[in-house]
Amino acid sequence: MRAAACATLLAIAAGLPHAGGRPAVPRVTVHAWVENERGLPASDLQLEEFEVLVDRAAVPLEAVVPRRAMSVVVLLDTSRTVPWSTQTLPRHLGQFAAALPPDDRLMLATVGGRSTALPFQPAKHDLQSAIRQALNHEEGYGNTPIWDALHDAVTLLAREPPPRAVLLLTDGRATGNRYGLAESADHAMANDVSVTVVAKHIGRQILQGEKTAVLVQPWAPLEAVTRYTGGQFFTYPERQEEAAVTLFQGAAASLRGLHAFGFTPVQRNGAAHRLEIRSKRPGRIVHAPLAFVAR
Amino acid sequence: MLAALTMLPPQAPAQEKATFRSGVQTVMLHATVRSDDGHLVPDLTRDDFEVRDEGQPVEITVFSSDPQPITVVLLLDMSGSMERHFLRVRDSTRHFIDALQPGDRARIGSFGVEVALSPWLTSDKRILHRVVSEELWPGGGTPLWNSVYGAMQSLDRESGRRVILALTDGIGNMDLPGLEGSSRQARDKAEDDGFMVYAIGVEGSPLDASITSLAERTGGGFFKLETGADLSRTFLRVVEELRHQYVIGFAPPKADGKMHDVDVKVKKPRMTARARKNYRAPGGR
Repeated sequence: MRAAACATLLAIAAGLPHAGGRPAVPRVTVHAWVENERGLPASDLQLEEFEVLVDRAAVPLEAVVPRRAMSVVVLLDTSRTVPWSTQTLPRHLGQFAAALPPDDRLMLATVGGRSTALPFQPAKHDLQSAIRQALNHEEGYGNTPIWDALHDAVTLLAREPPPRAVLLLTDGRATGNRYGLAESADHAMANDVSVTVVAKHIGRQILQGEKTAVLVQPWAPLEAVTRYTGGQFFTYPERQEEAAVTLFQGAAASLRGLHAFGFTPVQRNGAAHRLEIRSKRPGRIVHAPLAFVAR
Repeated sequence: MLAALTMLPPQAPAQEKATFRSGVQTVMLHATVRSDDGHLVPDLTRDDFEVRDEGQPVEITVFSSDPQPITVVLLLDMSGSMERHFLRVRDSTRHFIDALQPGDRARIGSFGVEVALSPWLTSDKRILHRVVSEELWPGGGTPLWNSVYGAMQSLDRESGRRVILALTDGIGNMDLPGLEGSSRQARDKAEDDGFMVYAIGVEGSPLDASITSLAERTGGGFFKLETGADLSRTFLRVVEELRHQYVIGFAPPKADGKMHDVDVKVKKPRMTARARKNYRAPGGR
């Protein structure tokens, strides 16, 4: 009886359909957005258009509903190796916040320079001055523990109701981390936190003797994290105002377009399982996490 | 701080190990002995050594020839001039990690665009390899002294022999804003707090004279690689040397808080001992 009541509460909390007497509660909910043929988030999602594969085996999809109010951590790398503009970046992030629904909540945290972590605020709250302040500092030549900061952000978000997201702005040069890349990515996946990255694109080839070269691409692991968690990866367009505005609008749109997908996996073993959600409608791409934990 | 780090009390000879308890303060030295042909000499006894403090012989009250566990910060120069050695440095660092034994602990650090020190001082090779894979980024200048000083600070709470091993191709040429550590500050800290500094110079510019001098004064060492020389072998040579150092302790004759010159010699012919060249006596600080 108690279990049934809890299940009903969970369903309500997750915004999933439930019946009064005998709840049919999907055991797992993940959040994903669906890109339509024009590259925009689709809103007319039907249960029957999707197929869900867990460890490559089909499981029935039990619910697809628009998301509820979400919590977002804007995680800004303020180390001196990432020269953000103190003029344009605060404005762009302000536009990003303004494009989220009014019930969403935002939090600003920094990594790499002076440590800043503001509490969650309504998305409409003006973060621009706080961002400017975070960027105006002289320190930041020490460690840049991006993976630790991501891990901490996920831990904070895990206390909030889903959906949850991190918007990470960085060049990807992670140093001085207690957690590794994989640990932080797994932590995000296990807590249904999507990670969207806006990366300063540093990439170059360094010759190592006459026949060998090494490709240095600090952003490459970030791209992998976004795919793994169902987020998006953007390259920050330097000195291209219009493109930057479009980028942050796109990031906000994908978060606005999140839906809760509910299903019940065969196994509930507390382990991570491979996940694939596909749309049968032509031209539609589902941006979902690539794994989930079967609790 | 000094007393806790460098002045360790002696214990009865029958129990002589690298860890000591209670009583009179003892100055601890770690000595490397090589024969004239360059080989490590691991089988000497207490009677084979002579220690002088300000030129006066002192009694060796603590002695051990047991293999010593290693506590080391490995500092890797990632500056622009080292970029062409990136793979070589990374692969050699992996060999260095693989050569560590269960009691050893290492921290990986790097300097270039920034000074980065891993929070992990660990014997867990999986973690050390993870740091090497994920946290080395080539580029920038050579803030050598910021990194050496930061590395020493990161070991402030550790006791026993503490080693800084820096791999670089040249001269510390910049201080990064907001970070501590000039060459003088690094030297003072190394000598006052008893750090042992090693430097490996990759071919290119000559090694910074300040770091070779510091290596000599602290009982460490420096190695200059010739073009194409095997860096992994040099790393392994340092590991072997650290593992086979002798632990020698004596009671300081004066508690005047001053720096004292100290000299360790081997009485046997065709052998040379290398150990720190000074220590700060207790008291007065």
